[in-house]
Amino acid sequence: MASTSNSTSSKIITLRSSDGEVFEVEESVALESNLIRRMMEDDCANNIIPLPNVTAPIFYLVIEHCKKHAEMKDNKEKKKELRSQGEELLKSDPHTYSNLMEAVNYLDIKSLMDLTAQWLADFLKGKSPRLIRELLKIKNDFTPEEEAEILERNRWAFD
Amino acid sequence: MEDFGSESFSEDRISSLPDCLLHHILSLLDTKEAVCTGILSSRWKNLWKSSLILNFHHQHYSSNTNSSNDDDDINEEQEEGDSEIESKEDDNDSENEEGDYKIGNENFFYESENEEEAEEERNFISFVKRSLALHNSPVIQKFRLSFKYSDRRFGFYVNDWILFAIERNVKELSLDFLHSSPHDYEVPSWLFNCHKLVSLKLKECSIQTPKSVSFSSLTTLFISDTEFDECMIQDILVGCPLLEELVLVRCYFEQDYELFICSSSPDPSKMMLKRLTIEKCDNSGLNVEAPKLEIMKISGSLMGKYSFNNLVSLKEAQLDFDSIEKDNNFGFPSLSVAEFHNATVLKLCSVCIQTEEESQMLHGFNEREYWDKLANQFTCLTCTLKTIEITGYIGQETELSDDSGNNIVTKVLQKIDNKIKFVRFLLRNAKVLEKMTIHIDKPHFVEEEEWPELAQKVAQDVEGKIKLSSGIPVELLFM
Repeated sequence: MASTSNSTSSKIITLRSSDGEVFEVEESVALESNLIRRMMEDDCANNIIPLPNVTAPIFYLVIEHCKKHAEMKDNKEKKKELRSQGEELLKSDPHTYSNLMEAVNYLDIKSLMDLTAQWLADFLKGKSPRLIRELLKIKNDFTPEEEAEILERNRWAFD
Repeated sequence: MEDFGSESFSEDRISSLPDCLLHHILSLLDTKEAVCTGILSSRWKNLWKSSLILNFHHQHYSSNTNSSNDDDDINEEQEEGDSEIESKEDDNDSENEEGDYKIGNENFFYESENEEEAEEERNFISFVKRSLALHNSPVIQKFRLSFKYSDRRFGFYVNDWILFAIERNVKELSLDFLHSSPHDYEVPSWLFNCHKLVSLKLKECSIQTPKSVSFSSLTTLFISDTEFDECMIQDILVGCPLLEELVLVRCYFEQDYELFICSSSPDPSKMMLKRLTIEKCDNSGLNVEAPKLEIMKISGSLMGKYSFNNLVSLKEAQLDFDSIEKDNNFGFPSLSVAEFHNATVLKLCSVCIQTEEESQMLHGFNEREYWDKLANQFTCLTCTLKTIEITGYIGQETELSDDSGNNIVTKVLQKIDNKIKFVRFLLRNAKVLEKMTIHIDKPHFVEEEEWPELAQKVAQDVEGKIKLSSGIPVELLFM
């Protein structure tokens, strides 16, 4: 059993992204990730923790948002601001969004999972299917007949 | 769409996210919106059908509102109380606009009912029915319904839907009837014997005391805007052995009802309750005995006798009474916070230090006696209390501002002068205090533009007087 000391002084954790970049992160930030928490519990030594599924640019984004999330506690304004940032990211770069979402899922960071999921949920609200497809590059693989049929069958939802 | 530049930008990565992530996203949408994503592509076509969370919000189906007003879903757990109040106010507004509710005219109301509204309700019902018919997950985690209906018969549909969710071992159930009264939805008694439920939220419905309450897994119970029998709460506390959080908002009890939040078993340590919120309920008195209780928030008007016992685990207590009401049976309310000795965060309103009826104070008020009495009450001061927050420091009296500016300053400073004694008392007695925060609201009789300058004077005055007594940081916040 690992018994890391409970001292509040900020310990630094070293992590390595899949492309070999080394990050030094405060323990309090790193422990937001349940994956890292579990890894640290398993391995008492102060080694570098490898993150084979996360690239450096994405990991940088993750850390940045972890910090932002910690800041926004009890601050409704900041919370709103952070929540509204997803729209921009999804419009300009859905690819990075997906990578971020997967990294957050892999690292198992609940607060960021809720935030990033909310981003896409907000993004989907009130947009036409055509616009969503266009912005997210989703290929409409229905034949016109199939699409018409789905529309017809789900008419009750599309009012 | 033509792609330009990097190839990766033209590829749809969102659709290749794993099902669990896309489900998570769909669960944040109203089910109607989730169903609509089925048209995007074959990847999305059936996703919603296996979503573990279903949200049916009636207001999303009305023709004149767009569907983007459920803001408080993030961190819902933490903000439950606040968001409830806001949404309640919204409800009231819309009801007033309709303006059709007239007491004594109830029988006529539903005959002359708005056809458009009824149509909307029928559409909603058929939507929910079809969604549930197509839904194919063997389990449901959360089922949330908010439905305002005017036809009593529609309540039976609701029963079917709840049953659907329960048969799929739903863990979290939330039902809100958006002021459907006078035809309140009556919660079926079989719901009170649902062993898989972990969290139950009931809003604006009617509860007849069920024959038995047995929620063997329930940890969170939230009831708001509901009237029920006095014995209900006891039954609930007995029938929910794992209950950790109880929230009662605007619940109405029988007259002069003293609310008991205590274990009825001989071994009080079996009571698991950790968080208790009682907001704007009309109970005359409160009796709390919960050895595991950590957070307690009580607001509304203070009426009757409040007593607290065996709160050995209490970490945070918030008492925020907006008024004191004399009660025929109990007389002047009484409140003792002596039990809060383990709390590290204590939020109290000025009512809490009003230990005597005003008339009594006028006849021979002994100041020294008063402070001694108060010191006995606040036993937590000596060894555990670390944070003190004082709100509404100046008070909310409505005085006209036809005095000259100077007088207002004097008046405000005078009001503060009385209270500074209390602040000093706290600073003198709190042995391990780390921080004190005082919120100073603008009094009604001070004009908006005068306030910043006045606030500065107040700050100087308060700081000057407090500094003398201790070195503990005191933060003044002006609203």
